Amino acid sequence: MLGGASVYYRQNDRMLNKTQGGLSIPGYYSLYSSVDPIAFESEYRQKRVNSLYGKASFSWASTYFLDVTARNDWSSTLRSDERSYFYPSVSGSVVLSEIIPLPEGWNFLKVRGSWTTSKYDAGIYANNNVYTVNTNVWEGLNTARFPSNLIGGSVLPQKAETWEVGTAMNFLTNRLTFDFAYFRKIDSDFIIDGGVSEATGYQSIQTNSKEQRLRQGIEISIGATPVKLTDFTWNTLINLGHDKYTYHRVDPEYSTSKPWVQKGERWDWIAIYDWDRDPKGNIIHNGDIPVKQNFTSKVGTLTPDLTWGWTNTMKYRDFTLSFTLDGRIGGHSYSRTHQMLWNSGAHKDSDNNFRYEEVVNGNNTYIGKGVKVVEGSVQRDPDGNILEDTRVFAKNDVVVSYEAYMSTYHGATSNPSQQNILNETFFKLRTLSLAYELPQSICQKIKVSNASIGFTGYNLFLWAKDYKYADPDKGGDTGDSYGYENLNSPSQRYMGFNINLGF
Amino acid sequence: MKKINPIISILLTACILLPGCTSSFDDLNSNPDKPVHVTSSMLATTLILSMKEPTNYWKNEFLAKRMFWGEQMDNFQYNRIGAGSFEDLRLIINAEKTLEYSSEADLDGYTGLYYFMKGWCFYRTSMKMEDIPYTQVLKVEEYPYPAYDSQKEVFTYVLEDLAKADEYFAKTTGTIDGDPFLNGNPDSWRKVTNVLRLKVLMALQKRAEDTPELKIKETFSRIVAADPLFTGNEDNLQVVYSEKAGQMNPYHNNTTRSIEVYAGSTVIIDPLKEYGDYRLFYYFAPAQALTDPVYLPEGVTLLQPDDWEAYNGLDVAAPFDQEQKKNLNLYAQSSERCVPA
Repeated sequence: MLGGASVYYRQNDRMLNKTQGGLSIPGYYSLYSSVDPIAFESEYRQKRVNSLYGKASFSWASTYFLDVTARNDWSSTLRSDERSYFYPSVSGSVVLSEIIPLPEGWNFLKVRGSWTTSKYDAGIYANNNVYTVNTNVWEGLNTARFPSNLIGGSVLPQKAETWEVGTAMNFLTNRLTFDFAYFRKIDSDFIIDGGVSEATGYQSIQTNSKEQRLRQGIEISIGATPVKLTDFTWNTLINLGHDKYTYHRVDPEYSTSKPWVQKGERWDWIAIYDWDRDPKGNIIHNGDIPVKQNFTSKVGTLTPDLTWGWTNTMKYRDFTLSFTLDGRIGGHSYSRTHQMLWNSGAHKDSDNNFRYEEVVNGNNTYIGKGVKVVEGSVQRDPDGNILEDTRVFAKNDVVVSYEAYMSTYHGATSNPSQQNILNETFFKLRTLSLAYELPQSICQKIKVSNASIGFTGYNLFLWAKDYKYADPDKGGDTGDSYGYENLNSPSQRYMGFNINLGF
Repeated sequence: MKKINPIISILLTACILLPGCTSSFDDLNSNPDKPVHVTSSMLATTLILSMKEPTNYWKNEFLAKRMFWGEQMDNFQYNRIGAGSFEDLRLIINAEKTLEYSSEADLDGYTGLYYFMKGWCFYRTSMKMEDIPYTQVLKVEEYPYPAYDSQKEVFTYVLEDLAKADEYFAKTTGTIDGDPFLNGNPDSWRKVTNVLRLKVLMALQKRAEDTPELKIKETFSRIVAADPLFTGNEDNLQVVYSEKAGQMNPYHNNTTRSIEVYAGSTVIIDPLKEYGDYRLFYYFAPAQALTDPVYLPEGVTLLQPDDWEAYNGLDVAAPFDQEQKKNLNLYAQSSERCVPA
């Protein structure tokens, strides 16, 4: 039995003052040197969460285990009547091998299960219905603006409900171990600024979305000692993980209004403005350059279909070799590196005859691959579905400057082109090490109890399906840049020798 | 007395104390830097300033084809404008709040401003979007998705609102606080309102014959005959840019440095040259390569800055990559008069 209480308090005070319009006297570096009145920003944020929690653990005969927790929080960021929220959890496991007789060679069997809820409060000041004020905007006048988000309705904390089942098995006197887990997490009650018609005087209404997102996945871990001899042992461990994110429920009012946002469909989608294409998928050119559609299309999903890792340790007499391979299958992201290499003319493949002719001889020789519209037009609904199409296409035959074409085809950095949405499939040799344990005879000579020398290397090899000029393993997975490989620097290759001496 | 388990005693104390400890929470979560109440004049400044484009907004010149930008294809340069929105209508809620905070003495002036902004915002939005909601707007609880009214009805309401604005400005005694352009002078605001009424009616001129219920001609002539209109440059609601932060010309070198890589277009330069219009010398600087011996290409005669031939524009309708590669020094760029250093 365990119980506790906590008070969490955070405070963040930030001030920024800066000169405006330059400095009045060269070399006089002070806020007083500002030509125009100084600009300032001030921010003071605080938050407190009071919590009470308890945990009870039960076990019986080393066979049955049960944990129950309960927690209640009071958060300052929620309205007084929504402030208190409760979330419990239960987890249990049974070692079945203690109860039921297992066949020969099966040493251990355990099943486990858990159910958890957790809740997240709102952001600091999120429920403040306040004006935005700016000072000295025009001829010393201050301005105020009414908020564009309607705040004041009831807002519950965001909720996540997870359950997991799993099993662990050991075979052949623990030479083979197997662990399997399946989990299912439903996120709901997202606190959102749900869009409304701007003709209401607001852009959005703060509310809880009815959207629910489901994340389910399996994790498998297999460990084995395939070879165990006096001189040679080989240990191996394989980890496999698969995650899938789908819409469990769609909010008819506030979920993103796109045709691919449907119950059961993936929610980790990436959508961009694709090239305008004919029914066969050829890029349509206007004038001499490709044109983009004015509606977004789904071009991929972020999460890989499978992540895997394989670790091996082999020991032969005094030598130990270990290495880890891991990788990912599937998942997409926008590679800013690839797009910008082309956009800036630094891509290796842009050094070609078209470019040579243009730069050296002043001849344009490039013709964009695709079609052009000879006559007719197309009508679409807001989702881009074709209502009426009278276009007649012909093969594009307009000669264009290679530079102008490529800097449009691989456009500005914040404007992903479809061909730079890359599959993240890769594998890498993440670590490799080889160590040699010096024999005792040598150790005694140099008066140490043990000694080893070895070689270690990280990131020695990378193979990627589409990512040729950036590391798909880095960036693009989290945070603001979700789905964006953001000109990341390559993972460092590290190689080193080491000597260990024990006294 | 029996000894109480210390953990339980802490738990019990906490149970009693903690929920009671949330009394300061509302204070903790109130942003000291953001007010719940403001003054009418601060809101009025927001409203009036909203009528000018932001000072960092310089792409109008590309849309009007007066300038060419060679760095990359600008969407506006090629008329790729995208969709409009109702965002201007959100301003009206600020105008409503102006009335809420207004004192008895200021109420007439701010009511005039309210109707003026209402007319202006609906006129602008309807010009961009055609049919738009009017009767159900700004009632978020009742109509989260307001129904559309026909453009004809919207224009009727716009004219009514502007007429009311004129009425209230006429009644106003004293000044309208927070006005950055006309010193809060209600007479000037009457003139602005009536000129806007004329502008709206002029936008309707093609409907003058077939829509008699709008009384377009009658209203127009009545306003011209009876109501105050602009009489000089002092009262024409012009924006006067200055060297102060936030009040600079959109093309000010401080904010738009890349202005130096734009050149004027034949669309504006050729007609100015054709009609001998001296504004050419105010808008543009002469081509550096033609007027400065250092840059003068071989076999070309040096020209004086006041020579009409020292001003040439790029062709915005030509293929982009062709114009993009031309030497900017041979073309007229924005004059320093237009681009304060």
